[in-house]
Amino acid sequence: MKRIIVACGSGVATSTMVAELLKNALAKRNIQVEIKIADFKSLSSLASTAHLLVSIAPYEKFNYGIPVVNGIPLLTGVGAEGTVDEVVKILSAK
Amino acid sequence: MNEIGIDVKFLEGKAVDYEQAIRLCADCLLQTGYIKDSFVDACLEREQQFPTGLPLNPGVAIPHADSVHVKKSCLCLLRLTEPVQFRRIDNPEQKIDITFVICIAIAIPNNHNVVLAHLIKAFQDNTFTLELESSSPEEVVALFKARMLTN
Repeated sequence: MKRIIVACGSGVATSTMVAELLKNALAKRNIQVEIKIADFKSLSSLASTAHLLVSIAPYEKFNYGIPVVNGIPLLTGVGAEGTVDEVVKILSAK
Repeated sequence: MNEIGIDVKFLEGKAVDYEQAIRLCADCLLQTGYIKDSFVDACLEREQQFPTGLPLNPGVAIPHADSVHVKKSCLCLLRLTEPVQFRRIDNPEQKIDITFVICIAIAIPNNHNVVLAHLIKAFQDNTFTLELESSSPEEVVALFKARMLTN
């Protein structure tokens, strides 16, 4: 099963919200994935286990060799479907 | 307010800046036993490094801190009588007007993912938030509860 990491600065609040919204949106499209939440500090150890990173701080640059998607549209609701489209596209590509 | 799945405190107030707004929420959560003394500084530090202003209309900010500073999960919803500027979550160089501050204190372990997702979805709905903005404080509580209890 594909694994997505949703990461934010610290504290679980925003990544929890985005992870849950993403999980629901993907389930509506009949896509099951494993979603882990993390803060940026723990990313380096987790990134190698994931296929995709959803970041709640798009201005932070990451180089873990996996695609990074901006998760903020899921928080604001503006452009959320586009973000889900992007996630689906990346998951189906690998 | 356990019927919605998490405790909530409601405040109505004025703040000169984002720091004072966050302190209003943190003071409430501290006095009611939900957070540790260390929460407020951690929350302010986090807001500086990773701001939480959501560019919605009316604006909503979701300041929070690591669960290590939380005793028991709770949300503090502050309605500001005059908007206060927070920096944008997606562009920290830009400041936006915020009317609702939802200070989020989440303990670990927790099973709040569903209620948190429901909460943010509610605040994305500007029919809901515009109504919250123009209602009396008592109506705010009632509207919020009603919304959180509907699917």
